[in-house]
Amino acid sequence: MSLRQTEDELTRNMLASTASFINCTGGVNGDNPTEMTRFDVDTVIQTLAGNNAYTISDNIEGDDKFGTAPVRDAYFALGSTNLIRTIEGVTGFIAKAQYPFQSTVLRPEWGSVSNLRFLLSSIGSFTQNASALGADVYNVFCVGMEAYACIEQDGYSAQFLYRPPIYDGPLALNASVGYKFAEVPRITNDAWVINLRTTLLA
Amino acid sequence: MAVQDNVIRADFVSDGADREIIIPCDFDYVNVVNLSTVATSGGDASRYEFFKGMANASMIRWNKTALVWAPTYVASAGFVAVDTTQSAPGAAIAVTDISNATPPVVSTATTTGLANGDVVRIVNAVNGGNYYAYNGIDYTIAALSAGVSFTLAYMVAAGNADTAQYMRIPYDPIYYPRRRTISTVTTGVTTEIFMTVTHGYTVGQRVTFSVTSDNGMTQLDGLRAQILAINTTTNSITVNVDSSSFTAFSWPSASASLAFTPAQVIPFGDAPATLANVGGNQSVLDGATRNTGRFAITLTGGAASPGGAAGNNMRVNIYKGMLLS
Repeated sequence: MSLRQTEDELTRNMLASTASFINCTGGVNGDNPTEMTRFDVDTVIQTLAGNNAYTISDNIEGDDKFGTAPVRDAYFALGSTNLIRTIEGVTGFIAKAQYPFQSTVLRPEWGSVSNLRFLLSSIGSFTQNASALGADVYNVFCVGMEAYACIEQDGYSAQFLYRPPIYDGPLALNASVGYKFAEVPRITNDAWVINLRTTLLA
Repeated sequence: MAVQDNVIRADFVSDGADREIIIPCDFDYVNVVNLSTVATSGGDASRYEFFKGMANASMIRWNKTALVWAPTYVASAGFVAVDTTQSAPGAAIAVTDISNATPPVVSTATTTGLANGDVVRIVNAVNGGNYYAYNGIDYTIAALSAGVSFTLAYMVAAGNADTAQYMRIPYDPIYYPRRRTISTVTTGVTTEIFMTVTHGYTVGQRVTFSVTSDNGMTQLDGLRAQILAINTTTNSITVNVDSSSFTAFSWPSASASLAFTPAQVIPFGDAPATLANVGGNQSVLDGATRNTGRFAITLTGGAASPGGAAGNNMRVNIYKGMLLS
């Protein structure tokens, strides 16, 4: 567990608690929500665009390189690495290796579909046994620019604390390490963040 | 070997009931001394211990006889470690029927661990190959009849399922106020909205709605409103939306492949302190931002338990050590 991971988890939990959601319904796995499909991606993009949410990343122009494709300006979709197979099964998926230019590719990025770029993490949000058939439901937070923020309080967001051994005990045997927070994650515009709930591809 | 233990102490006078001690972090070890009985002899249970990793509700109870203490492991009526940031559902329990009534009655032979006011999640509600809209949604329960049934207290009739499963949901999502599922809506000059799980909202908070065509009342979708009144008996809120001309709210019918998005109430923004401030543009942070997650230890009440009997003076020491491996 690290300071920034804890920060991410708190923000994740806030979004999971309060953001509105759309269930994926375009799939065929017989569950509710179904697995994610292009229909569901289009639905969430249309909803965000209809709510006047700005995209976060600029488009990546096409180039004369084998196997590449242009990437649209995009909202970000934050999800679990367990979704890799499901996302790669969505019609129109472009792996980040297929982007014409790699300079703007993000380390956690997996690829894009239409105007949604997927950023995946091992601590991505899911709700246990929450589908109609009792399967885990994965929460994919689709966000526009400045849809949420971490607000600092008391003049700082987080502090990493280290006490070297000489200050931590009379025999200088052990050091202490820890961190503390004074910040609040919150949605700044609820119309610009949508939790796209999905189950896994069968 | 643990070194540099941090100790938290809590003193209280027992009322005989269970007592929850909220702690700022995880713990490794707890001991409780009943100061009212510790000086007496004759088998009094005056000291209690609990180590992280022991089964919830268990304890090591020390009995004192002729100035000699003797420990006994007891499997029940002891300590319960609470971590509301981890809300794993309980085991899936078989349901034999969900009635098509308001509120729906859930028949099950197993209600162990349930109490009125608990939250359960229904899954696999099916009848003749058709799935029901009950599925995948959380509900507050009431009218618990042990080993027989309970009701989905604030839900309306959504069909008769002949098999299903329920899972107990131990804790709410940690951030307050929370998104809730709408069970039904009463239209009018102001609009009353009922939810499936105890909402916890307050007058003056601002909410918006997500309603798809599956629930009929699409006119409510995306509207922003302020809570004018709450009703804790019916678990409803009344908001300043004139829904007189809206189409009726309904639940989708059962079908072989029922995928839909249930209607939701979504709290947003900063809540004004009073209705007089209808602009609600205060720079306060009482919107959807309050982290209610907590670590705690619940001490079961009673003369032979760490919560003590009514009037007992109790001392609790909670330790968190640094582990060297």
